[in-house]
Amino acid sequence: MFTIAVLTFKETLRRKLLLLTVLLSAAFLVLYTLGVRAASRHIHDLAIRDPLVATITQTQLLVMGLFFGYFIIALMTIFAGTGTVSSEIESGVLQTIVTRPLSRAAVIGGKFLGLGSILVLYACLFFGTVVGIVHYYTGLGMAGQLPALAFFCLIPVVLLSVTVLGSTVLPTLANGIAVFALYVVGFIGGTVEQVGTLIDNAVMVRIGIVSSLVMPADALYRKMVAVLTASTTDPLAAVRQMGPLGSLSEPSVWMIVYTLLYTGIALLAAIRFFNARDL
Amino acid sequence: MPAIVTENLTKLYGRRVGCSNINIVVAEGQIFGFLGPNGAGKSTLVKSLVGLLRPTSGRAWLLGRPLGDAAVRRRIGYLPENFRYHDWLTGEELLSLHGALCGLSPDERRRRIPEVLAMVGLERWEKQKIRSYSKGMQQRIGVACALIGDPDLLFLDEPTSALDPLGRRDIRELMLRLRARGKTIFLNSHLLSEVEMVCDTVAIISRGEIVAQGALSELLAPAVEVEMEVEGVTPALEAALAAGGRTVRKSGRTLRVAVQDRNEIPVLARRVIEHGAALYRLESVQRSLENLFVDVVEGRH
Repeated sequence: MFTIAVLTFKETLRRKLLLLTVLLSAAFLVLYTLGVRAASRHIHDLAIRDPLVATITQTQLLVMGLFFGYFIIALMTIFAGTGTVSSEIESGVLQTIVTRPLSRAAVIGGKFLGLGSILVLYACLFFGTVVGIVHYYTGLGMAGQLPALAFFCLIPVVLLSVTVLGSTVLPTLANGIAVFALYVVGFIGGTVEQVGTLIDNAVMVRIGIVSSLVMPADALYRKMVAVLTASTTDPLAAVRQMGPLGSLSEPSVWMIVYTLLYTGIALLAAIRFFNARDL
Repeated sequence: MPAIVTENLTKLYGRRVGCSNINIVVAEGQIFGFLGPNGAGKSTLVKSLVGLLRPTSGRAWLLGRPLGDAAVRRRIGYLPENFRYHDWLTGEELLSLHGALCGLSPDERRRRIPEVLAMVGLERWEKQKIRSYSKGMQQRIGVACALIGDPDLLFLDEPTSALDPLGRRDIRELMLRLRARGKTIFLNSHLLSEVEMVCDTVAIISRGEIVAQGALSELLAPAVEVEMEVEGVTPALEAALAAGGRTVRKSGRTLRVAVQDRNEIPVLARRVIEHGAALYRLESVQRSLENLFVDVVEGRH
């Protein structure tokens, strides 16, 4: 399994998709830094006149940066992972690998580990950079950075598990479309849940919960935002977490447990389907 | 212990038969030829044996272990018919990958990689990426990958399809050297002349079923073929020549008749004369695998 993981890691590193993502991310972070720096000058003045607006602005800057990271890493996970098994079945590359003395489970595990490592590494770097930029220029205090980082890293992990599962049963293109559609369902449902919480609409909230059960990635994002911007002594916490990119309705710890189970089940299903599949 | 044993091995694709009730025994240290027309089920059987396909029913053993045993795959090498590899790797990296998957240590890989490269004639190409290789070179590196673990049992599916005549000769000689070292080779090939040159035993598959199998010498020996150049062949003459169950094949003025006994040869000459035809040439030739193949597949064996 480790050999497959290293192979997948190296293969992903040399792909143009990764290079493009890194370049786009770098471009975004440069612009983001300039924007945060420009905003920070006003925030410092605002903090004296209107601390509420200053706080909201700081938080929204942080959330915007993290939202871009969430979006980019979701896309990168889907596009990098969509053909991880199916494209090699289609091309025939897997034929000589699977006939070696390793189980098919090891093949799936290795691919998941190799690709997941790069995605988690990217998530860590992006998260650390955005948080660092905001803290440096605005002085925003952030609680729970480590748990928030863990949730942010779990986003590509859960998406990758579904993508790998799809890759064992669907052709590459169909898998990409299917997983992207799932991601959008989760994202829109999450937004609907936020609005529903704001206007106290139970139906909208339930829609959001169901969509989170279908695809928990958005719930992980909301949890991350909530943890990062929360403070038990800050009466403005609820206000700071507002907005469509925020987390007015914080997912419970059971959603995290569910997400871990969801990921495990998806991987087990991927192994089961791959085991039964003729190549 | 036989290298391969199958017992009613069957693979169905829905209602379509891939291969059906395959019963073969391949002894160790042999080169076994597996022949059949396109779509007969050759690759289906090979893929079922190496673990790419799940058999629908039946059983098989490879090197004494039941099908599906992961550990025995350490002693097996496989070259697929449609060989594809990670083309961004160099030849050396690809062999290192497969060596690692076979469980070879880094030291063992360092020693083994130059050996297999030399076996397949790619010594100067190991640093080039696979994508820069010609099709023939890719097939050679595929053979090298199959050999990297020094397997006891080798499955080669059309191993010379992309090679020029010199390359084919090299691979044939390699197979003979491997057999001399006690290796067993299961060879799928369309090239009957190649099979005739290297195989000890053959099986012929048609429409998913084995229609003939045995030692090559035994399959070809009983039959002698008589080739005659005859002017004025009539249906009556053909029927007379075919009397007694002989197989007659006509191509223009050339008739090929399979006989069981050399004593039948003068009888054939007499029949031609009696029917008023003109006999210009008569010679006996050893029956070829191609003729056996055609006869068997077309149901005349």
